[in-house]
Amino acid sequence: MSVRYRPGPMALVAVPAIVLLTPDDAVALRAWELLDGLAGPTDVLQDLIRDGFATLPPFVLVDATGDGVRVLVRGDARAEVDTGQQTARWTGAGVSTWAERSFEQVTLVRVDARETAGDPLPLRAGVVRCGGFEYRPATGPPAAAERQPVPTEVIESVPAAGPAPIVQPAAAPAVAPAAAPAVAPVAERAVAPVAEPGPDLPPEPGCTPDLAQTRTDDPEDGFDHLFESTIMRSVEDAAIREVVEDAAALDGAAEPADPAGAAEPAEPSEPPEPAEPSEPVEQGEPDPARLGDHDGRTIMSGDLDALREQTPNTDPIPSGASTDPATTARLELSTGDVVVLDRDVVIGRRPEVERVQGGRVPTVVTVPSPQQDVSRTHLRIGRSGEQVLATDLHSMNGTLLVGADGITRNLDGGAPHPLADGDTLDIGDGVTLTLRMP
Amino acid sequence: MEVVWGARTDRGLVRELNEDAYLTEPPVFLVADGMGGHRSGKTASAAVIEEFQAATAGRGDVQVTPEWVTERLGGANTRIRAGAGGGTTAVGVALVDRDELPYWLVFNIGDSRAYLHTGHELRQISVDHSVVQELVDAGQLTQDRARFHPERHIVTRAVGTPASPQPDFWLVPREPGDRMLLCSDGITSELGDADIAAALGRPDPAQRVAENLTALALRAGGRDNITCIVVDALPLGDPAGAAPDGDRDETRPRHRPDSLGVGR
Repeated sequence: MSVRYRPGPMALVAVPAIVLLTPDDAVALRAWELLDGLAGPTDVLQDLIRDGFATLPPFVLVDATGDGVRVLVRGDARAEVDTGQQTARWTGAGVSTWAERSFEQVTLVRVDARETAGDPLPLRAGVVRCGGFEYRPATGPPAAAERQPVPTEVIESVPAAGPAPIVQPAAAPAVAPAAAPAVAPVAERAVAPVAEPGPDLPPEPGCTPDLAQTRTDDPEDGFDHLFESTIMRSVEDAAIREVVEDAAALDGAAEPADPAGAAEPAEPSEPPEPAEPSEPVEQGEPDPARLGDHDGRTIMSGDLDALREQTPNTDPIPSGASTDPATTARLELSTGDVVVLDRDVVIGRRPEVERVQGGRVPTVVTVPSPQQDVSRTHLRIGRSGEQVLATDLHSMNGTLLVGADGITRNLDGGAPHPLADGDTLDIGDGVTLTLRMP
Repeated sequence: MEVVWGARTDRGLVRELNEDAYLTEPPVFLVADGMGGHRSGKTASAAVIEEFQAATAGRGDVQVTPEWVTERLGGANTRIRAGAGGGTTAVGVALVDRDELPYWLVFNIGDSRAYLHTGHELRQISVDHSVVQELVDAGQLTQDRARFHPERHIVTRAVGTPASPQPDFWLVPREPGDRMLLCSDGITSELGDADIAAALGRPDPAQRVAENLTALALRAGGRDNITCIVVDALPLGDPAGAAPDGDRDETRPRHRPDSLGVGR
């Protein structure tokens, strides 16, 4: 992040990813206290409005703590945001609360409020006298392509998990009409405490009748209700589309676009509803962040139900069978220990077992190695049917196989090697293991 | 070897409910991140916690095995499916001995995570069961971009499905000075590895570390429920650490004339 400010009469508060400009020093100092104490932008907003809107001073708040950047403007300060593709400009003049815009990616935020003096100065964190500032995110957000749902070629390469069916145009008629009421400003923003957009305000981009088209064209918009909420999907799940349709319908039913809903009390931790910009945003683009961020927990229920019917009941089949030493292969160690091969065995000076996906967790066998000649995790011995396989786990000093047939060789790291009855493995520091088959 | 621990859970700044749950009942530590509408996520994560709690409460001598863990998760699965439904992740660690040496037995199902900080490095032990992880495994996505992928919250395995829960397991040597972190994705979707490593690397008590991580995740947006458990392995009789520790030393290359065909 970088902030460059021009000296002026107001107070600028900056910490990483959060910038606040206000003429009210008391507000600025309280914000600094909060931010310096690890509070987030929501805490600052709550503090700003603690005495209501009548006394709320003008301010500009830039919040880049999330994936994107949002900019709140109250009063006649003029904000300009460059997304790399277009520029949005607006002020908070004439708005009873403030005018807020969210952006997926931002290359520059510029705020000009009052007469400024002098050249721009850099600021990392702190409180300074300021008349205007420029803010650039430290590292650009992920490239646009990577923020899109999985590209087709990726889907094809991971067919089991591919979300391709979701975004097919066929889904559009079912999704769009049902979803539209839930995305309408009133229902979507039911937590808004006071914002009363004037009747003469221009319609918000993205909530216009071309909404359906937007949602169809930009699959991400159709799925932001899945964001942040963890949901389950079977790897084999190919029917997510109907889940989404159900979800949209449920959402529509559960959240009717009833203006009365807007009167519900505000969720304490929810940032208050922004008012509309008082003037049209130049080249106003549909703003994905405004198309709905309902958390979609209704959806997950349907998703889980669908999942229940789709997921095959596949219990793991334990490998290895008998534990009777008389009928099971075993390893005789030079240390005197005998290890039954009823499951895989990992041997070393202080062995670690890597990820085990299904099946039994290997036995670990620790061997002494005063010279530290044996690697911490040196060798794995396992079964494959009737065969016993030894794999050197890329040990530092290797594994020597002294065959019962008299031939001696080094095991290749990472390559399973079949063992015969009586074969002996030398892993260093005098430690050997001999295979005994029943 | 003694352990000390700290834990913290927070609803976050956006969610109405905290559907995360955790258990600190030695020898078992567990974080569950519930999902599903109409409070079912909350009951699902609670079911996992209760299953483990009932089997460990007041019994510090429980000998935990992978089979024991799978049974507990199976019990939770049955309860969830017979009850309110929903689903939950589960990531946990049990203090076990293997071959008379201390180990972390790590288990995971879903996209909550276990990290091990060994004093000089941070290792992510668990591997997510998620669509995004599959893309990473397939080479289609880099790990540092995964945090921003639109499908990052879709898990491919969980407790609460018709299939019996199949956790992945790891057995990691437990050494003095080790610091294990269990956390829900409310931490990992807000904080990168560098942030997590920095918080774990500070010489703070475990509870302070858990609180710091939670505060950082809140500050970064707090868009999901946040839960973390920090478990520190202390050297016996020396809580300050700095015990002699040869086990993390590197293996010494063997020096012998025919090492050309042996050394690697």
